[in-house]
Amino acid sequence: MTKNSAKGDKQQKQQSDNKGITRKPGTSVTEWIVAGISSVALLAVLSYLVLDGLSGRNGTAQIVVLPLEVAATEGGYVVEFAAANRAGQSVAAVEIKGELRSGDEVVEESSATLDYIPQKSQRKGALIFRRNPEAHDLRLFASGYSEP
Amino acid sequence: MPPAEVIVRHGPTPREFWIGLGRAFAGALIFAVPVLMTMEAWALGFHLHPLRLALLLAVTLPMLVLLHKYGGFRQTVMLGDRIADAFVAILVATVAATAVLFIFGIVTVEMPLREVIGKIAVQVVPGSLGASLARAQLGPGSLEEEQIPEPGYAGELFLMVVGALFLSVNIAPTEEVVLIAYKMHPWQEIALVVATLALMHAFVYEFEFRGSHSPEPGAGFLSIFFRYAIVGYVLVMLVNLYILWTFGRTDGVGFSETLSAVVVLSFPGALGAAVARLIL
Repeated sequence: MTKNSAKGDKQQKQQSDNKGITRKPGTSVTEWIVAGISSVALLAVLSYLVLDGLSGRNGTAQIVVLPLEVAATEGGYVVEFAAANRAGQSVAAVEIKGELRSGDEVVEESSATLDYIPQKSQRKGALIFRRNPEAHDLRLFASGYSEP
Repeated sequence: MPPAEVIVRHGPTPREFWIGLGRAFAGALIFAVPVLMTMEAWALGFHLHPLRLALLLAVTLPMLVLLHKYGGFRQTVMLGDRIADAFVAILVATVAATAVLFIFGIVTVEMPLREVIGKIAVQVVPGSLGASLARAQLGPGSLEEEQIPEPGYAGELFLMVVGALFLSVNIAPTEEVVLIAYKMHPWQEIALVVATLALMHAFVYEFEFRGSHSPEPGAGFLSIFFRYAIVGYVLVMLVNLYILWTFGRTDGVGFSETLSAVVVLSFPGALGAAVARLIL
């Protein structure tokens, strides 16, 4: 309370002391331009959200997992992947599985969990195999998720 | 920007210096303690892109210099003093964050230097803001006189941005921001935008302009709404987009979810911006 009243006093003092510091209640052209640009930006955000709301969100996620790169390291073969969620719903705790196959037989399995894949976004991760994935048939897929 | 009155004064006495430094430490601790005790903020230390972290620190310095024009832990009118004070604020924040993180055992001597620097650097922004705001928050005003200039329109907007940063930087590292964004439907986001704007306008118009702190006596409802609430809100969104980008929350995320996270973070941000003039 004392602080506020002190500030108020200070301001009144300044206003009476120095007319250059007190601004007139009128509005300069620059201020209106800034206000105009901001209003347009805000309207754009709101319209986007309205369109997004009207388009409706699909109830199921479509997760596509693609291998990006295989690197041989001391700890094994690291297969980097990108998991893209192509649907309009965000998902959490996405289990990504990878299999190395020789014909119909699965020779090695590996898995990783991604915390979130937001709607129409992608996340990267990696799986580690002991056998060389390039010598086998590599399959990557999402095996499940939960709603955030 | 009104011309700053230049008053030649003697430097601070040793007692004033120590009081100022003590206030700065208190401010740094109070403002940084929520981030210091947030798990995601520690993790940011090592997975944050180093160049983005560097940019954040580089942006913090001029912001502090400008902020010291309107307040600070000691009265500074000259630009040189304000630059010195900004560095002191950063130093104080760094020392405070390092000490607390060491005591918590979050930072240890065995850790790689990159991780230690990252963890501490994340804390510098809220800490140095806190150190700079310490005078306004904690000081009884005995060290300061009436030389702090009243901000013009650009100055008011700047203080709104600082107010937004002050809350956003505390909340942005947490996973809750994106989690809420994922849970929200576009209609709920629209409702949040409208509610945030309404609150912001109510705070600015009712508490500041009709309260004790009116820089524009007689300014009308619409004028305040367009020039402060809307402009302020858009600025808050831009600041939050920058913060989320810095913390890597926008990487690989589609436009819709990014916007959603910005809207969520702008709720605390806008509250901070709206009450900025009451607390700064």
